[in-house]
Amino acid sequence: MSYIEVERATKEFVHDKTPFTAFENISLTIERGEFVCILGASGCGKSTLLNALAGFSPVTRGRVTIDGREVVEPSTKYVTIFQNYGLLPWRNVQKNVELGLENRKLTRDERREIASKYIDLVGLSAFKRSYPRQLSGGMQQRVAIARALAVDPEILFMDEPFGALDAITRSKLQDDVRALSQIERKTVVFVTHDITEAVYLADKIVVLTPNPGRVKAIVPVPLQGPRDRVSHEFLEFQNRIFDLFHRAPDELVEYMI
Amino acid sequence: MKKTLRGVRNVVVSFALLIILWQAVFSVSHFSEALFPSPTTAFKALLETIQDGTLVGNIAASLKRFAIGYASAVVVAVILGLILGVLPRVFQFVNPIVQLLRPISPMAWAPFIVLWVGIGDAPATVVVFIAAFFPVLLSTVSAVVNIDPIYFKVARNFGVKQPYALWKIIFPAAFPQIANGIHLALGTAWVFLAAGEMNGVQSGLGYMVVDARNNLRTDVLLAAIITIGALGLALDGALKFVDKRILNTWGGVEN
Ligand SMILES: Nc1ncnc2c1ncn2[C@@H]1O[C@H](COP(=O)(O)OP(=O)(O)OP(=O)(O)O)[C@@H](O)[C@H]1O
Ligand SMILES: [Mg+2]
Repeated sequence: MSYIEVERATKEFVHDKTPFTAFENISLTIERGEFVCILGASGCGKSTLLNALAGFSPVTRGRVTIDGREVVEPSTKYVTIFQNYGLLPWRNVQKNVELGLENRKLTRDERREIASKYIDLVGLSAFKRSYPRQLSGGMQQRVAIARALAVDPEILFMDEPFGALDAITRSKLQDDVRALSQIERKTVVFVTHDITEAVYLADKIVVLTPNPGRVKAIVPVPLQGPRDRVSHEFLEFQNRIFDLFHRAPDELVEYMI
Repeated sequence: MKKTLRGVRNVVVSFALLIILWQAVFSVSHFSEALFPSPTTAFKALLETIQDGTLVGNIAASLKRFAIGYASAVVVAVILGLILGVLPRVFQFVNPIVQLLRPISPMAWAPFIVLWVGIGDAPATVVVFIAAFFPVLLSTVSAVVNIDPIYFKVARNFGVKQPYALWKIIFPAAFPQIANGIHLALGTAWVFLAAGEMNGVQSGLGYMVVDARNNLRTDVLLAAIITIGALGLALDGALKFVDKRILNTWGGVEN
């Protein structure tokens, strides 16, 4: 039995009395420690699927289990990181990171110490007293990551976490997230519509197609060791994923020849 | 600093213009000094009431009633508004009652208020309470309803449970809009304070107006009116300052 199991899961919304299927009959499994990317075009139900996995909005049919238990509500065991960060603007960095620790039996100093450790880990030691609005988008997302790691979750759910960032910041954060997930031994479910991002990060890619969202393919990423975004193997594999969407980009064909 | 200086300058210029206009209208009008006092007469009356201590006494009485009525209305309305905001099913039933009571002028209750709470400080305080209560309540409920859902998601995810979520998440998230309502209510409540003091009390700025009328002292009447306006303006400025300080420390807004 796998760590996360999604069995014939369907999510229907009822809008003005007409049902709308966001995704249908999705089945997949994720192992402990795996880095899985859910890849698909806008509107194919990626966020909806992630919300179902994270317990925010359970599926209407089928089953989602984590560690053998059905997911019915959110838990600090699996923390979600959102595209727009979800930081509390009235709390400074330190206090934001402490949020998930406040309902635990910890003293103030213990809380502070744990939060500091993760703020240091994401490289923001100098900004503990800053408020989110004083930070760049990339720094804010680092705070969100520190806040998530601070509660020591088993799983990180990430919903296009770098979608709003520039390419340079994004690739830096991709490196960081991959490194952190390995150091901290987290299972990561990462939603993106960026094929390169998925190929760079994932151990396994779940490709979704829209209307309604369905699994098109589940592809293990065969790349070993540190990945190089311009290596031959990388581009070749990336192209295979492109092909899955029936649109091989012209610029990549040149590399292939 | 430059900005405040410019602000002060604007206020001074605008008030000077008003006084000049007032004097001009007085000079060309045919009213007697007793019906339409000139700026000088009004200013003399103001000095007179300051010197004999009545003005300060009345201001103190008014401010005390206002502070108690307004502060308690804000506290009660914000707490109730936060609760009703997170319980939309309850608010469904409360809302029609609020909408029914809200358009009733607090002054319409005045006779009952005197019967129920007696005379003295209480009636004007209750009038201020009613005047401030509904705008704060409604703006708090709508502020909570309009909170970005992501904050609730974050709260659920990080195990922030009620009642903690109320003051850790919901109140601060809604605060900018609540502050707006609190601010608007200040003006309304101040308007009704003077009205509320026109019955059943022997002190306060509203009483001063009525008393001046009864004594046919239109100059004192005008001095009282000017004081009401000036204090209202000052309170508004003070609240604006406090608002900004809170929003700044909470990192809610940019300057
Ligand atoms: N709460 C909801 N009620 C009704 N329909 C919804 C709801 N949430 C999502 N949907 C619909 O479900 C579909 C999938 O939405 P979803 O946000 O999961 O897509 P997505 O793959 O994450 O897209 P994007 O890449 O743009 O974020 C959309 O058509 C959307 O309108
Ligand atoms: Mg989405």
